[in-house]
Amino acid sequence: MSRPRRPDGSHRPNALLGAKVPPGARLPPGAKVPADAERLAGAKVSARVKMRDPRLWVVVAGALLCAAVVVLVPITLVRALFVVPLCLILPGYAITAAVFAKRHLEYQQRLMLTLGLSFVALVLGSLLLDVVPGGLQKGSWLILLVIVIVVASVVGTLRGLPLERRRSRRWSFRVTRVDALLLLVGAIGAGSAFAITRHPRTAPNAVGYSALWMLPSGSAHAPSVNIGVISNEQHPTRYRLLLRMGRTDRIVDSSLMLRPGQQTKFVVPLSVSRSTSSGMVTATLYKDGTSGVYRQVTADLPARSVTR
Amino acid sequence: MSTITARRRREIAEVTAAVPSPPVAVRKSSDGSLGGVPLVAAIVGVGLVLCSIADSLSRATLAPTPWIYWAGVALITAPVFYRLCSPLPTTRERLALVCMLGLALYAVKLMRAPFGFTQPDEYPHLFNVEQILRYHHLFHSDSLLSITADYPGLEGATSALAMVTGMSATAAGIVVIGAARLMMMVGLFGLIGGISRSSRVAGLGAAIYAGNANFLLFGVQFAYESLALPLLVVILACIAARDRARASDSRAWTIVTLLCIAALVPTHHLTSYLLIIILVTLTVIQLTSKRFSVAAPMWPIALFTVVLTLAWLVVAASATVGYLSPVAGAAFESTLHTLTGESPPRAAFSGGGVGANQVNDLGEKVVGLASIAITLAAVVGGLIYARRRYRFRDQPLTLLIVLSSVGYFGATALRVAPAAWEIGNRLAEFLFVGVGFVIGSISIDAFRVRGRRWPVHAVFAAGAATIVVGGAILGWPANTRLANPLVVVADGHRIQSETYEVGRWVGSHLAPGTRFAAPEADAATLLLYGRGYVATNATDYADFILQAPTLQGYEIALWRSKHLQYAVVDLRVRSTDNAAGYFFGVHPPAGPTDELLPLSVATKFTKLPAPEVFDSGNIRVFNLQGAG
Repeated sequence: MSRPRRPDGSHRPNALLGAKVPPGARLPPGAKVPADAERLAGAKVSARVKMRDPRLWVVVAGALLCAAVVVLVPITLVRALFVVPLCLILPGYAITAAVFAKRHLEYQQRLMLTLGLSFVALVLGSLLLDVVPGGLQKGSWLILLVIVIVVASVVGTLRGLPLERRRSRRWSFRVTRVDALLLLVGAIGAGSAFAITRHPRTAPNAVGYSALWMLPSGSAHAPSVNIGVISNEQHPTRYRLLLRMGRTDRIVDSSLMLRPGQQTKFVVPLSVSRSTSSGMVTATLYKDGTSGVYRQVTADLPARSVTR
Repeated sequence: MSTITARRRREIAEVTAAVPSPPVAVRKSSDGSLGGVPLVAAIVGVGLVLCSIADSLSRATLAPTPWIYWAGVALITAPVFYRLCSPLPTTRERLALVCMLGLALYAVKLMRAPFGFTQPDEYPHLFNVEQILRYHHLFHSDSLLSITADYPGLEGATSALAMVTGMSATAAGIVVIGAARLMMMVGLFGLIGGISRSSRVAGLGAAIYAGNANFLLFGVQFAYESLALPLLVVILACIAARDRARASDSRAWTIVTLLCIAALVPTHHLTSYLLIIILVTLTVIQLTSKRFSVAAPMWPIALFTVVLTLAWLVVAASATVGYLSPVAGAAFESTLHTLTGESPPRAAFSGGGVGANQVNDLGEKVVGLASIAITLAAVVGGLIYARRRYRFRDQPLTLLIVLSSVGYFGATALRVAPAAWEIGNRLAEFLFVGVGFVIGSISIDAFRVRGRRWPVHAVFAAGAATIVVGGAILGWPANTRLANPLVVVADGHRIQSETYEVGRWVGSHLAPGTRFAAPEADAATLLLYGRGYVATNATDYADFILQAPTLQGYEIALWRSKHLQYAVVDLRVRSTDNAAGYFFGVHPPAGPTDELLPLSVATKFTKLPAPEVFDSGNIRVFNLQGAG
């Protein structure tokens, strides 16, 4: 099926994306050649003009500025604001300029390549840095990224910048008050959505719990155990902690009170008084309001290590 | 002005004709105004608030209706589709809308887990980044999903941001995946626009892609495929641009295509293999087409990809074959068994998880099924239209993408076979690009109606929003679509779930590299926060022993041969579900109470005797060193 035609029989142009018409196509009768058509067609621009074009030098300056901020500013948030373009925008932009030189690029193609080639620089850069001495470090990343951006920018400048279609050069925004208000509503919506979700909530139906742990410590001559209690209960909770060695029970804490999220640790020394057939030590946690043993852990100590 | 030769004049004529003279309506909106973007942005903002409210209520265990969430998703998507249907927006506005859609839905994923990554594949990848930050080199082993360490593209890129800024690996990962999502949307716009030569088709096609089942959650998890798939789309967009470029431009497009392929191969195995299939198919089509001599040859790119992928497989990722072949084999067997009736098909809406909470609202089921029906109807209509509009013989890539829309339904059918579910799910994610293109193609003629157009646009927007919402319903288990309680406030203080607590306890009290046998969910936190070596059901069939009520006698010797020092017993059935196992248990009405394994599962280790060093009620850690 043929493409839709205009009443005069000519093909109706779509909103084309880098499309090319068949060779031999003619200008419609009466149409004028755009002023920059020669440039669009790839005509050479003088080297003097190329070197004066500031865009890629701005990229180089931007890369150096970003690198300087990373080195000099200790605030992570500020560094992040400069590192995102340094890692995810400038390398791709510069490589695109180097590869495409004077050729036509739609702005969406430029955007796609800027992001895509920035990722290419990061992925291949990580493989490269992996084999150099020192590996992937902050300094080596900075040097690599700046080198990629500067070299690609110089190559792009020497070869001539990628040209955009005439319409994309006239990109300007006209923001009305209503537009600004609506954008503000959108921004507030997005911001408040994150604010709502970042704030942890109480969860009355979540099942709280407590954890008990015990690990041997000390030495063979002066053995001891570390016992910890962690409360992730919904309310402040009172516990009783016992330690059983052989046939002897020892109260470690008879009224241990912990708030939700609070934890405590006991270092309980064990005296070497007599030998025993078993070196197993048992810690038992009782919780107020709960019948029976709530938590129980054990530690296997050297057989001669037993307290009184 | 220099003298213009006849040849140059012809080139100028080509370019001038290629610059579209926009229709009157487009001219009106291309005067620098923002078109419909501000209004759509405001509505999207409201949609995000609804999603965050639903997530917060869910995290607060107040059991909100899921329709708050879906209303939010619909508010994000429908206005974008409605505006994209209109002939008024400029190409820039369409691109802005498509990017807004992609990023807004990414924000929905972020709001679901604001305290860190909680999706299954995110733990091993985040661990890999932390290993790079710690040791300054790639390829450190990852016991939970060892294959991820052999494809360090995502982790390498993330480590750059984390190292240079000093931000956490999680924050760097969020930025990287956000940039990848943006690249995905721009790449889809470029790909579909490149083959359709229409920004309207490009906008609608790229936006429709949000209807694939993995787009909302799985596709933006911090995992290698989330970067690889956008790279694949960019590669295809470059190939589409290369096919239409002049010979002199073609070389530049070839270079960037090869660069992107060089980055894709060390990023993800399956995506690399899919790219090989695409490129080899394109080469075959091109070689059998009468016009192949005038198009840029595809075989050098295909050859480059094959050689690079094989080289990576041999040199760096030889474990890939052992990793993928059992999955593919099981999927093949399961499909055969399902087809022959030897095994029952997988129940619809059962999700990918285990345990309780696999419940779908009836309305959700209806929307899920409606999305499939609408997609099918739209693709059939789109195929009829595409057959008339595109000359496939000259455009092999277009043919391939159109065929992929048909293949999407084949991949969806694979979800019926239990073991083929995952492969079908992944394939569908790739093939949905074709669905987007085919449905987007309808817009050229379908919206060219006499009289009022807005009802047609509204119907299309509603249908498209249904595809997106239904796709999300189909793509993720019901119990983990909304946020679950991971960190909550109790009596004014923060408390965290048992699974996280055991991971952090191990990180504080046991040496890095300590070896554990553990269920999947606990293994993830032991790996990430405990820096332990983990043996799971996926790696060592650990659940078989961990969940047995008694020991047969050989188990401890077997684990000792693997140098495992600790066994982690989790009595909750959902601990083996690597999507749902991380969160607090809940009381009704927030959800069903946890289903528990018998206590003998834990006491069998006590009888050895093996010291029990940690007890949080459901989770017990046993020291196997020296145990009988």
